Amino acid sequence: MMWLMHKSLYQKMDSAAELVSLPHGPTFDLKMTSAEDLLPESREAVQAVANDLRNDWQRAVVFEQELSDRMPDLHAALERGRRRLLMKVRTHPTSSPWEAITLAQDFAESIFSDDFSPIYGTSMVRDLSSGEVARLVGACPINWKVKAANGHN
Amino acid sequence: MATTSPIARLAALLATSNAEPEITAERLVPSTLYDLDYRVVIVAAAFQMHAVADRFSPRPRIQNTRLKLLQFVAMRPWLLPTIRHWSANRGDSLRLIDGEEGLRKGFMTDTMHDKVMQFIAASGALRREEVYVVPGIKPDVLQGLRSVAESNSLFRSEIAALSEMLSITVTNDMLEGW
Repeated sequence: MMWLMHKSLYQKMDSAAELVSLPHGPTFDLKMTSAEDLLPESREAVQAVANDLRNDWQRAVVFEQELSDRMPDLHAALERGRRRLLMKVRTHPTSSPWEAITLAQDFAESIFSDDFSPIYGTSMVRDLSSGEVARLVGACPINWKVKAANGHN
Repeated sequence: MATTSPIARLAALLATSNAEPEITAERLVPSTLYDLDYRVVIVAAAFQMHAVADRFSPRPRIQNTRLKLLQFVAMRPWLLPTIRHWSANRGDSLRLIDGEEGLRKGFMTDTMHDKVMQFIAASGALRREEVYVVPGIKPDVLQGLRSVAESNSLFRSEIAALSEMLSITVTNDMLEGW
C-alpha cells in the first residue's frame, strides 16, 4: 500500500540516485580504501558494504531533495533527526565505539521512524537510516584509523 | 537486525582488524535552508526584484504569498521548469503534472519562511500590510544586503532564478489563498 502511494517517489529514487554526486575529498571513498587496506583478505566484502552505503546515501540525497521541494516541514524534521543521530552515536553508553557504530542503523531507524514511518513506511525509513549513517561516515564524524603498536593512536 | 545493516557489517569487519574507531564531535554542516542570514538575503533580493509600485500604492509592494513562492524557487532553481510548465498550463488543471502539485504543496508549507519574515519585520526592513509586504521603517537594510551580495558575486544562481521568474506569469490562482 505504501509502495503504491509513493510509487513515483520510489521510481524517482531508483532512477535519480545513481546520478547523485557524493562529496569528494578526504571522506567516504578514502575511508573505504583505508578499510580495504586494513582488511586485504576481505577486500570484496568491504567493497560490497561500501557500495551498499554509497547507494543508500545517494537515495537519501534524492529523498532529502524531495522533502525539501515538497514538504519543507518534514525536511526540517530530517535535519533535526540528523543532529540527534550524531549525538546518540557519540554518547550511547556502549562497551566500545565499534558497538556504537554497529548500532548506528538501529539508532537512526528509531529516530526517523516517528516522523517518517507513518507516511513512508518502514522500508523507506530503513533506506533513509542507512543513507544517513553513510553520510556520517562521509561527512567525517565516524572514522577509523590504524591502532598504534603501543595501543594508542 | 543490526548485524545485517551495511554499517554493522562494516563495523564487524573492521573490529577484526588493526583499526581503532573514532567518533568525533565534529558538527554536521546543516543545510543552508536553515541559515537565517542566507534566507534574509534571498528575501531581500526577491523583494527588490519583484516588488512594484502601482496606482494603489506609491511604495513598492508584493503579495506575501508571491514573495513566499519566489524565495522558495530562488533557493531551488531546479524547480524553474516546473513553475514555467505550471504557468503555461495554469488554465487547464488536467494538464498539471505531479511536480506542480508538489511545488504548490512545498512552497505553501514553507513555515521557515514565515519565521524569517517575522524576523525581517521585527528588524524594521519590511512589514506586512494586509496581503502585501511593503518596506518597513528601515528599508535600506535590504538594499544594503543585496548590494553586498551583488558586489561579492554571491548567490548568483538564486539571483538568476529570481531574474528568470520575472518572465514567468504567476497568477493569483496559482497563489491560492493569497
